Amino acid sequence: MCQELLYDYVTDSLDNDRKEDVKNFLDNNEDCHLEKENIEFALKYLNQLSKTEISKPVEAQLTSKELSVHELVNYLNWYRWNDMLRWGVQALAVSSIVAFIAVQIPWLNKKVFQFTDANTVVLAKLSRPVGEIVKQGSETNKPVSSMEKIKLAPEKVAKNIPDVQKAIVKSKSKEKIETKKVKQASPTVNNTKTETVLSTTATTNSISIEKNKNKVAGTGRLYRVYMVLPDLETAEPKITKKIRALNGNKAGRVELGLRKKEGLYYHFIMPSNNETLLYNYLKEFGAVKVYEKEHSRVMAEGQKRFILWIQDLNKE
Amino acid sequence: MSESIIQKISLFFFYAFLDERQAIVASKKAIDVLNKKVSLSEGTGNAPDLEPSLIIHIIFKIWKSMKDSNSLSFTNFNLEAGWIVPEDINLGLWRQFLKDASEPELHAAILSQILFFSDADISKGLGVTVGTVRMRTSYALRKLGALRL
Repeated sequence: MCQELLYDYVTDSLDNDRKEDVKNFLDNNEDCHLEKENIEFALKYLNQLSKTEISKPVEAQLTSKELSVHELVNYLNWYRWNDMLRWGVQALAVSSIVAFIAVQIPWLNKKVFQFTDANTVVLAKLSRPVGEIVKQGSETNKPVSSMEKIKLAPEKVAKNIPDVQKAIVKSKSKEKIETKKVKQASPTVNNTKTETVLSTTATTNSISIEKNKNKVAGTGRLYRVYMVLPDLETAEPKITKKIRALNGNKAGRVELGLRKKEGLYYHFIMPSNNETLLYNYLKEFGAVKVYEKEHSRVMAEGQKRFILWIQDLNKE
Repeated sequence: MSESIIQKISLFFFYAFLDERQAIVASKKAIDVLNKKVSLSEGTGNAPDLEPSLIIHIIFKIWKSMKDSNSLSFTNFNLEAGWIVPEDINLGLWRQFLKDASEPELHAAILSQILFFSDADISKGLGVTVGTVRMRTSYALRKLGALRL
């Protein structure tokens, strides 16, 4: 009860009788006395706080009609928003800023970023542009790189052929000499025919060149030759001998002139410059049909692969 | 509006929040509302009358709307202190009092002993009896005094 009246006692709001009673009680009660001192201290403290003054800038700000940033934010009542809504807005703002920055950065500008593909390996750097023709025996005397060979356009391959032709002729010079020797040994071979070897060589090459003009380098060819003859027993040894004479060798396991039920089978490789010779010889026996086909098996330069099938007329 | 009223309003919010930024925002809000009341009174032909109880009522209303807000996180570019507190005052005591005292006790202490509003005006402004105001003030003073130990 005394504690409830202490504030009134200290502020002198009590009547005289109550005031006297409280005073007597306080003299005998330490706790209440302490409480009274606390109240007095608090009153003193608050009295000093009341002397706080506001600065001129703040006073001007309070009286001005312009809204400050704080007030604008406060008017939004941001702090009263739902937590989910507040977090959502913040996340949206941050993601928008990041997206804007990402769009503005010139990612494709090579000056800013240097991107390299880990899967790309640089083998060689060429100074010449793609598609330029390189001739053998050029000034640099350097072999054509494999990359350049691949890049050469098919139609430009033909321009290199004269050089290739020379190379073939040179490489087969030994075979020509042998061919000449064989021609001379055979009684049926005339001197004119040796000459035709050379000329046929040129023509054969020209023929094969024309055929290969539009072909992509690296594709193999197979020449299928068909004939129909009545007397295989007489023809077989002659044809076999002729093929061997033209430097033809078996291409697989099967020997030349394999006798089958319905005909003769020849699978052989022969120098390409003897192709016409072979056809001319076969024509003496009968009609010859030749089919050129693409094949995955690629022969060496100057070589051709043939499959000659001679059908037995009696067993058709 | 008189300077004394502006000072009283700003002091209330300063000691109620102990945050200068919040005090500025709240004070400006209260002043704007009171100015509107004054302008409305002038419009109707009545003499502008700002009763203390009205001031207390407006102050209490704005305090209630802002009491749950977090402190504004904007940088205060004003290097000078907005409120000049006497040198020998220990605000730590007041900060502790803000934590320990209840809201009614806090209001009673500020309005009665800092701003020197009368108990009658306070009771009218807060919508309570005079006895209640005095009781709250008594409790506030006893709590504040006990903190000195």
